[in-house]
Amino acid sequence: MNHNNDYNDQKIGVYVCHCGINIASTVDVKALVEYAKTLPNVVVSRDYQYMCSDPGQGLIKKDIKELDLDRVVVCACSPRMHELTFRRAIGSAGLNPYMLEVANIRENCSWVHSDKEEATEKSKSLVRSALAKARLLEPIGVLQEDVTPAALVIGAGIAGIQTALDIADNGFKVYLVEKTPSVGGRMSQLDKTFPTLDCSACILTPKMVDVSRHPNIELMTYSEVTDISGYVGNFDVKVLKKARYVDADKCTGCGLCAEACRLKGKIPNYHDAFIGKRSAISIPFPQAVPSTHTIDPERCLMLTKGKCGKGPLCVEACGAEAIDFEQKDEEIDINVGAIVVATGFDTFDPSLKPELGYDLYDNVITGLEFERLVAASGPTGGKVLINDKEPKEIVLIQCVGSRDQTVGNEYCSRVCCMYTAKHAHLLRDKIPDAKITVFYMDVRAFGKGFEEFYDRVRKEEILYRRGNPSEVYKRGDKLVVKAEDTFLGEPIEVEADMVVLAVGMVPRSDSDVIQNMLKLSRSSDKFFMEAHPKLRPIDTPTDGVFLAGACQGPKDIPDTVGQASGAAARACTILSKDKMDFDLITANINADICIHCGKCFENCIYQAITEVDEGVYSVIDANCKACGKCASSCPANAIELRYTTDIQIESQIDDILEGEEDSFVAFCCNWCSYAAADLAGTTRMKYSPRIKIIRVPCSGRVAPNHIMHAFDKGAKGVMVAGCMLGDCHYIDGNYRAQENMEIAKNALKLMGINVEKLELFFISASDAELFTEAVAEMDARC
Amino acid sequence: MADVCEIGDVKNCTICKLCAVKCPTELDLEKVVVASRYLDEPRGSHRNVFLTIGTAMSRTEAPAWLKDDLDVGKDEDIAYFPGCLPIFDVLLERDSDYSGASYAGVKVMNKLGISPQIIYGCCGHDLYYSGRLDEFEDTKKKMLEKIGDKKVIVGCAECYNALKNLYGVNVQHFSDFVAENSDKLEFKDLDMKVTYHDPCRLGRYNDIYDNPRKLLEKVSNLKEMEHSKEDAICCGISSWLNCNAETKKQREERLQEAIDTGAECMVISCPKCRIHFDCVYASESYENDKPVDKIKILDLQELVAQSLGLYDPDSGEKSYVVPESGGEAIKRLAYEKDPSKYITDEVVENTFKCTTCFACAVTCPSNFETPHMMEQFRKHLIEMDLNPPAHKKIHDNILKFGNPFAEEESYGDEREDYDVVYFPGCTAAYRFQGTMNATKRILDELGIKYTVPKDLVCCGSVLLRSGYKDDANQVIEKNTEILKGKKVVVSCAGCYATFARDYEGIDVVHLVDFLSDKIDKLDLKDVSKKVAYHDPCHFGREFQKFDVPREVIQKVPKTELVEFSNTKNDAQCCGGGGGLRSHNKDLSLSLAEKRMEEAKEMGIDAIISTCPFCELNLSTVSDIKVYDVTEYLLSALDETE
Repeated sequence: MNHNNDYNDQKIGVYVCHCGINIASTVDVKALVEYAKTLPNVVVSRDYQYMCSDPGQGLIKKDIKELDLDRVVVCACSPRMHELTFRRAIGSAGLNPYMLEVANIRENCSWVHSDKEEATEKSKSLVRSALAKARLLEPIGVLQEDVTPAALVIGAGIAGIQTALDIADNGFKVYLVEKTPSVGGRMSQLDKTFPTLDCSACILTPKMVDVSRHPNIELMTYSEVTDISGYVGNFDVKVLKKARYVDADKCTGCGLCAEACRLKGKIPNYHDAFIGKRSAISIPFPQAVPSTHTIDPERCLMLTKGKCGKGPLCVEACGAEAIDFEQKDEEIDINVGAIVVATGFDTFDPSLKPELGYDLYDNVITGLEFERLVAASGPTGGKVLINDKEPKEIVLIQCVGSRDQTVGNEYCSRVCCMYTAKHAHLLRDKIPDAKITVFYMDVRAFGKGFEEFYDRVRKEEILYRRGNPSEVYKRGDKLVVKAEDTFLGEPIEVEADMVVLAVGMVPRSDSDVIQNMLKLSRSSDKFFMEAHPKLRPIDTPTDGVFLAGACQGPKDIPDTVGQASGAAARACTILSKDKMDFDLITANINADICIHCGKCFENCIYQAITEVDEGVYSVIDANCKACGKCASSCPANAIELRYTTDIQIESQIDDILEGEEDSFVAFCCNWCSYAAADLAGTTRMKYSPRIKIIRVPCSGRVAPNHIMHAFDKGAKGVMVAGCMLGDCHYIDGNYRAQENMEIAKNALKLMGINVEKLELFFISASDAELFTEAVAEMDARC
Repeated sequence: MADVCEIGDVKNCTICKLCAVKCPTELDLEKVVVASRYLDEPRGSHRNVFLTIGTAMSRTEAPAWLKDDLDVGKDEDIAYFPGCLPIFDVLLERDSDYSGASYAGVKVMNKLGISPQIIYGCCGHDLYYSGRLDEFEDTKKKMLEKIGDKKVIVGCAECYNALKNLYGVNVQHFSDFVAENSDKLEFKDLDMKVTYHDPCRLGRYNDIYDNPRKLLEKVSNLKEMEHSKEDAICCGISSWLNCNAETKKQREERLQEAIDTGAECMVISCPKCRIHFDCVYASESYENDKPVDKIKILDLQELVAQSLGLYDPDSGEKSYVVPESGGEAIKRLAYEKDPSKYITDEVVENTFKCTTCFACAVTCPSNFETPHMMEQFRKHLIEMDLNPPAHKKIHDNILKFGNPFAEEESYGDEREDYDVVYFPGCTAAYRFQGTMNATKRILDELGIKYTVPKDLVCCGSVLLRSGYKDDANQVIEKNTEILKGKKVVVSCAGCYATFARDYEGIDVVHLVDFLSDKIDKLDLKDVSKKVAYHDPCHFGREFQKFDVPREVIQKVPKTELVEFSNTKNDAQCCGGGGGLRSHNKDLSLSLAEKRMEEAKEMGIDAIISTCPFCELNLSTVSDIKVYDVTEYLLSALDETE
């Protein structure tokens, strides 16, 4: 009884738009204006031909000033169309821009209903609902935060290098952090690049040198990011700079130490895909940047055993006195405004397909190992030698670990077809008389120059056989590759001296470290997930964090470089601002009520909830996207979404159903299903006026309590509609909706209410037809 | 519905009745809280979903959900009511099987050869105690039809209380039922240490303490918690209303008590207590949060069934089956809120019985401040014109004359040059001028320059305590204008509490606090008396000021200070506060008499207080001299007695 007290002083203006005849021909605008006048707190109610026009906006502004309005309800087209227009209008008249609610009487009413009486009644329920929310609106503040004009780029492969150079060229400081001792990444391991056959080192090395010399780039090799906190514009990052045991300022990169090392040629070299051998002190490859040598603390005798013969030979050999066994790891704190993740990929481990004999036979090697074998800088100096012999019969097998459900990788790695073709070409070049067979499933030569290259290679007497080898085994001193040639439809066996497995790309095994630090998501292929597969392919759900290169999914070099430049541009959009504005429509935790259960922290995919103290949580407004998933899962009601509170939703339900004995409620997510409803209106589809739509930010915002509330208030049914699974604007909100639906349905059954009256739909923004089908379905069920 | 409770945060009272024994007027808090919630409609935790389901279920037919391997429905005259457990299993997402308690209960009945009717539905306990009274009445009507004249066995404390006290049907708690039939059952000792948590609705509400214990002693080794039976600490949540940090702490502490017994299992006979305790462990941050090791929590029915070999609480199986659903959607409720229906004379009487003495508040494990709630509920009763005529009269006097006694003359004693403002308060100024005069004299003796502005009006305490919140603001504003920025000395506990709590920005000090560092400057002579200090509620319990007045009294040479047996937080209220004296003088004085009887037994010469109101009420009923502390000091200055 007493809760309306607070509203009594409110002065709300209601403005009904004719939209020419778009609204007025189906909705009795005058009747709606008069009806609005009868509703609580409405001090003025007017209509106008085009409310969005300057004179229309002028009407509202004038009333705000003269009548001292504190809230405004506009009955017009979809809020997706003109909400911003009207927010600006009331803002310019001195009201907080968020003291506005739009009743969508065009797309949700006049365009989809034909009977004028029915449509007018429907519009009344929409204005009631809008008023219900309006009464509960609170002014929304704006948070302004300084932006640190610096970027962190994680990973210095070609993606990270390109990103760093682009950002640095824009005039911003870049911290380029690389885990291994040198920049260059996977590209530096490659020999030639398809389809143009440029020498990888020749095109990469200049860029590697550029990053080391760029005045805006602070290169941190042999370093790892250990902690990231903060938010867009203002991330605090900890970097662990591992001890090299070599003074970088003194080391000239001459390599005499490596020559002198007692373990020379005894340690498999990571850079050579472990087929080459190095010393305990080394640089990964001759062109490494920096050229500073690094001592492997797990191998060096001084560091593992405390002594190395009569004394470390490297120290003796080093004229520059650069070796320092006392060097310690260093932790460095940096502050950045944006982060680009460019952590690259691993190659598929063929041990997971034991039938291919990789673990059994020395002459079964991976594509990456072949790159090192064939590279001039590799362990054999570019000669193709297997056990010191030149192979004459060679089988190349494509799609190892890609497009293969048996190992859980459904995706295509996008590079193997072409690199296999390149390998075949290189083999033909180096061993002109070799018999070269390629097993493939399909050849995907989609890129620029790819098909041409594939054609060229096939003409070089390379035998392409369509089939997926089932087994590689040894017969005498030959390998035998067994497969079914699917063109011939018969089993075949091909003898080989060497088998090269075209292993695909997989996410780096340590991806979860970065993932947890930045709360990134992973798509079903386990690569990092972009914020939107089409329109935000570089962004991540975490604002200010971007993806470049193969960490987001398999890519070749040109795609990687393109995405890297894109990521740099995206980062610069943040770095170029002095300050960032955040509208505080965000979630808010009431610390007095919070029971510190941590559910919100667990559920937030945006890293917007932080544990400020042990078990004490607060919202980072700058990260919060206002989806409301946290609010819907808080047991203590300690979290509210400032612009879509539970009480606002419940009041909307109360009032939209007031006097409606035969209606059903639809909670539609703003981004997809509500947009689909708009589209249904735009395309003049017709559906039952029994549906009463309430717009919510996300289907995941709708919790069982809202559903129960609607039923309790006499709804004949409830539908919840979200984006298509996998396409949620808030990434996983509709999955939460799915869980909530299951719970609510079970509860309905236990209550004795027919579960048919409740349904969840996934409707894309473009699928007006599906929306109207859903409405028809609910209309029939309820 | 409001998320912020307007009536003194009334959602935070669990009505656990732990305070009931402390209430000097023995008022029925349960009725008052329920009625005030009827007006307030507080929202429940979990975004109110359980209460919404409850209201909706007042219009649905609940289907059967117990697992179907039970023998049910053959005996016509005995029923089992399982409550609404699977709703919680489904909604709380804890992978729980709270329903197991009911399943186990029926199993035990089966073992006794009984095939009970099962009555499905919601008992409405939470609807009632959250103030959804119309919905409760509908629920009750429906349930009464189902129950008929059957005897109903229940295992849930809340259901039991609802059926017994709110429905008045023939109901027996599982523990009583099994205890009655225990000779027919062969219990196996489960060889485990357990402790028993008394649910409020079973213990303090219905005096069921012993039979659950008897059963537990048969099947296990029962260890009692520090607070048990009548003193048992509540789980902290009632009707889903008050899940918050404060009450979570209460649960953590209660769990710690259970763990400290050395028991491996805490047995409960209220599924709600269990659910709320479980929440502590369900919290994600539990590992990082400080509390308590983990202790198993089981329902009494489960443990009994387990000892009979009928049930395995660890089986991991669900005891409920989500029914296939029939039924239609339901109609909107069409209640017009009608306070006259539920704000009964009894509610009104109990509301105005409260002396706002804080005896309840200091007892409450959830730190709920009943007096504040009472004040705000009274405000609503005033709006309905239900408050006592005596209060209205006093209210009119204060607004007209600036004091409750309709005195027209000002007690002002204005001076130009002063360090402090002395605010004597109406009672000392117009009725017990001894206090005012003594205070002035003491200030003079100490050389402290004071003034008593002539335009001062009543501090507003009387208005506030009796519910006139809005009108009190008038006097508050008036006084604030005069007193803002000045040091204010008061000699009345009621004035002190009002300035300290209800005013903003007033630098107020009670005279005893003011004196504490100056008293040695007074030339106090011997007063050979045996005295006791009576703690005024608004100084003692409300502000926990116990020591300073005693120290001040002890500065008087030869004075022997003794203690009442009920003292400090346990001090008996004089009965004068909260507006009780003016409208129910008999009750008010009976409290004073109780206090004075105590005084008589102690053989003391005088009682000393720091509140003229206590002085007024206590001196009305007894010959023993009642002093204000200022008067007593004055006597030591003057050696007159």
